[in-house]
Amino acid sequence: MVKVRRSIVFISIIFLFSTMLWGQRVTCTVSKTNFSIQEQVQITFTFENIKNSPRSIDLKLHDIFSVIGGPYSSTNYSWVNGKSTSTHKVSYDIIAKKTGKILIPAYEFKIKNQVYKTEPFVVMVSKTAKVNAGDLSVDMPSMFMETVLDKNKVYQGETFTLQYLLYTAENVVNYTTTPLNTLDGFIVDRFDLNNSPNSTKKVINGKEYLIAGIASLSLTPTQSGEFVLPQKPFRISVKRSGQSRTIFDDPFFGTNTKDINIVAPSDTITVLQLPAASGPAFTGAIGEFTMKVKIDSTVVQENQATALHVELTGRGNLEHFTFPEQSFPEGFEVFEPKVKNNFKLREKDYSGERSWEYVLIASKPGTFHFDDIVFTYFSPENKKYITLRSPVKDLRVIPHNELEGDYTNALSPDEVRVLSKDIRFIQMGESKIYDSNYDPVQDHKNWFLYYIAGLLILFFIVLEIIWKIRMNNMKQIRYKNALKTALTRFNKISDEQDPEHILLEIEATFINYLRDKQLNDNVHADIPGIKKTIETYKYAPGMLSHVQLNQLKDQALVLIEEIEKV
Amino acid sequence: MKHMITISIVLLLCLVSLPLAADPTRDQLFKQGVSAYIGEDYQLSIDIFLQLEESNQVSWELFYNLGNSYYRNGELGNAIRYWEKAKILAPSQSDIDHNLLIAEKYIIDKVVLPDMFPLFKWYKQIQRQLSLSVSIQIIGFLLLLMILLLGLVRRASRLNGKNHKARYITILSVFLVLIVLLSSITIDTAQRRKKEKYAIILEDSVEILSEPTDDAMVLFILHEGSKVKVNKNIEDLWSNISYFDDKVGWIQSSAIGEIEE
Repeated sequence: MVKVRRSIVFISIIFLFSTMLWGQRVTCTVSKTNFSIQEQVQITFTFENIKNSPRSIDLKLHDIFSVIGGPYSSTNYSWVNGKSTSTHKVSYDIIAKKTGKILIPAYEFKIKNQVYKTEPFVVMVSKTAKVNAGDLSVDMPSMFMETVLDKNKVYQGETFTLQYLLYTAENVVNYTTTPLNTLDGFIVDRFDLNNSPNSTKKVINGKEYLIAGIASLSLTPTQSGEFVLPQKPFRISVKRSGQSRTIFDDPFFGTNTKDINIVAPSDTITVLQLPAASGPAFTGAIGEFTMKVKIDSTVVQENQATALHVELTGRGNLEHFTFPEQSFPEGFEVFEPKVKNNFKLREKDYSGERSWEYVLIASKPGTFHFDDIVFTYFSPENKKYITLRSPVKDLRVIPHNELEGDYTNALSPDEVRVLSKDIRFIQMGESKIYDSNYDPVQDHKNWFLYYIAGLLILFFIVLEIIWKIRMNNMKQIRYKNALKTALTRFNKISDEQDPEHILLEIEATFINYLRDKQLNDNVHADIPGIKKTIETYKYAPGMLSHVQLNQLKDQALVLIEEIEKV
Repeated sequence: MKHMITISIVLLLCLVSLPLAADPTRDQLFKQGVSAYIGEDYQLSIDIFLQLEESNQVSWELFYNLGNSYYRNGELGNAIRYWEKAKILAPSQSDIDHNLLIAEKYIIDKVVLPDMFPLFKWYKQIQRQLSLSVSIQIIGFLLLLMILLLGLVRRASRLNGKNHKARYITILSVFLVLIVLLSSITIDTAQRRKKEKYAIILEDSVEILSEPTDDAMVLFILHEGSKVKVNKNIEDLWSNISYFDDKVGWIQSSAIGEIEE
């Protein structure tokens, strides 16, 4: 009897349990299985009779669909014939990015140790919509937002960016949102509201949209796992349609705009854990980098400083790591490195360069060998750790001088900078080649100007001698040249000249000729006559004519000719 | 006559400005030395430049590059020695001054001298910046200019028949003062270079002894790069040197490198 009762209880429990499980299922459906690339459809997950079902789902379809809305969540309870049933729905608005047959995969949900699975199915995405003209844009909102991630899977510490795209069929005037400063599991590198975005056009469900990236968010994950990036609300100001500008547009009376609150959908990102065995030279650098190492001088004096420069160039999470600790030989005082940052957060991550300057002061003389400078980073492209290694030249430290005295004090930063100066570069060619026994005193080229000066002195001396000789024989020279000079001067006289001037010229030429020839008035009977005529003409200069003067000139010439004959 | 003078001047100028025929082998070797330096093979660049120096044909660029190569090779003494040699040939080259200034920071023996009287300082500066060749040429130029001006004034006075005594006196006094001043500096520089020989300490640390024997008393110690005056040599084994005039002693000749050999 007892056995029978036990069996009944057991069967009842199994029955009860099976009835509980009965009807527990998850289904995935799409509002249309045959739609166009321009059409918005809704994908819905229905959890029947399952408690603690998820409120958002990673669709894992980022490459195929854009999520433009959701997750929309609703729960429905009903009581039929004493039986309670619950239906929880999570849906997303999506738009296809590709055409053709698309497989919607099986989604697996683990809820309270129970695994539920949806059935996979295929949807058909065509290029153009097969809908009636009247149906066009009926279901399409005038405005919606899309969240676009540049990567769906990142490594812990890898910087990534998500963009908020606004699809609008309205005339947008302005938009605002609250800045995002913190997010659990992430470092917020930047939240940027783009005030002048570039826009493109796209037709969806027959409705033309302007698409613009109005905001972007750069994040660096600090933990691994699956993270839901939350929805982001925006307030969009649009111009009211069909209204012309009125006096009410005046800022004092308000503008002709309306505000619309819109939410960018949430998205899910998978943060992978970094592989183990990174080594001591890994300090969290993730990206692609190159390294340069340089030491200012290879010879320094004891207690003087030199600087070791390490420069990293590339792209990645440049903001989020320090340079690995380096070991230096004993006998060196090494200061905290001076860090110089010259990088920018670009579209996806940081790019540029970072440098570390180590000031080294040697406390004892000798030649010091440095270990290689080592830096390890994780390359997401190659999915492995890469170690950069750069050797440092040996440093020679010269002992300080007893004569000079105190060198024990460390140098000031200014003095360190002076030491950083290097010698100038070598000469690329020879301008002038000398003999090794070259003596400038014996080089004739250096004395060239002296030779010229000597020649010039000689030249002037000769000139002076000639001048002196001429001066000594002046009377004789004049006697010889008297006729020639007189004829030349007479020939220069022309009728175009002023009569008074001609008279003076005739007088001067005639008198000079007589003086050069050392003749007096008695030599020829006509001489006094000509002189008298000249004197007479002088008293009546206004009465003179060119004919009279020509006659006088001819008389003088005839007289000179006669004198010359004698 | 005029044509003759013009032709002679042109011919003389051509003779003076006739460049040295470029030696392609030397040029090639020089470039090899430069390449070795750029390729950071400093020992090779030293060897090549020394080979060029041995050909008895030198240039300030050759000495300068040797100085640079020695500096990069960690041989401060030889670097300073060759930069000093380069400075004798091209005293106004700023690159040499710059490198010597850098090298000075690494010289251990440093003596801080009291400030000189400004006139002496100026005199020393002229001596350092003017090469003997340039000084001789400048004096020649001044002489030529003076004679030319005197000749022109004389010609003017002959033509005018006026006596320009004041002009003669002005030209003569200005030019003669300049020429005498510059000649004195040049003669002094030439005399000093002939009489005084300088050398650079090439070894890390050298003991300066009281006598030219190994067991003599150590007077003081000098270090690589210090410049000393060589007073006399004994059979190329020992050199009597003075360091800033007041410290005199004996050093093994191999420990120093003379600037002008």
